[in-house]
Amino acid sequence: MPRLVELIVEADEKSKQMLEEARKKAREIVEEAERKAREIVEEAERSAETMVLGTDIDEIVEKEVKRITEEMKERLARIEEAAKKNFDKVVEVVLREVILGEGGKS
Amino acid sequence: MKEESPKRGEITEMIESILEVSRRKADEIIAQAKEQASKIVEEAERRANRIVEAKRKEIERKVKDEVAKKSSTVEIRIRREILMMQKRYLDLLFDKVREKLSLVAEGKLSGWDYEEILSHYTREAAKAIGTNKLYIWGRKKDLPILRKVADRLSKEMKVDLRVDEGRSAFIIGGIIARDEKDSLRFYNTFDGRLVDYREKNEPKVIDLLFGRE
Repeated sequence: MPRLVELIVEADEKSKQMLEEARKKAREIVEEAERKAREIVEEAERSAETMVLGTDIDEIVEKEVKRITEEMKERLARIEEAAKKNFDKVVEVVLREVILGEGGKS
Repeated sequence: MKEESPKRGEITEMIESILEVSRRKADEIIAQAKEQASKIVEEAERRANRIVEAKRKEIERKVKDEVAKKSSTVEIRIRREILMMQKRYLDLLFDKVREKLSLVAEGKLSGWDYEEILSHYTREAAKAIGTNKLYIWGRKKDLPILRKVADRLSKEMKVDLRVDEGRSAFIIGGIIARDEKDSLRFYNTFDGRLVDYREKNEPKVIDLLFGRE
């Protein structure tokens, strides 16, 4: 009987030890995850900061405004081109309508 | 001695069972820790994405606001240039029409019969005034044509239509008509028709000239 008790106590000890090790390992796993999480967030904050520092807002704005300006100038040129092209034809239409009335038969 | 062997087997089994339970529990603890760790990392990644995304949006908003502010100034300036250009072309166009009207009045533009035009204008004036006797006048140099027109229309319309020889007008072309007492007048001149046409039709002419955008 003493041998039996001894064996059970030994198994119990082993069992406690096993659980203790598992808890320790679990704590380490969670701590490692928390460390990794902190790193991820810190890296994101650094990256956001770099994004701000690395973004030349003035340059982007300048480029965009330049693009809009070019677009408007092209529109202006297109309109002027149309006016040059249509000028003589419209003179004839207006002349006719002034003399004869609108629809050309006053 | 014979009875001890099975007991030992039972004890071994019992001990093994205790250890197995502990092993399972230990595995469970580790599994839970791994799951928790995975959730912690996932949450951190989500937070990191939110941080970067928020910053990106902030930059985009800043750029958008600045662009809107600066480009509206450019747009206003170019819109003003477009309007000025439209006015310049309209002025040019109506000047050109005025020149052509002068050529018509001089009989120098093919396709147009000035005498026929004056007849047409006089007919319109006579109908508008509506009296039996009326006078017409125009440019001094148009007197011979006006006389011919008056003669022709007097017969055609059966009205007493005369040229007001004492009057002349500084106009591009066309006629002015009045009744006998000069209480009613009808202006049918190129000048008046041109001004009237521009007032009424400028948007239409802009469309014809510049096309619809």
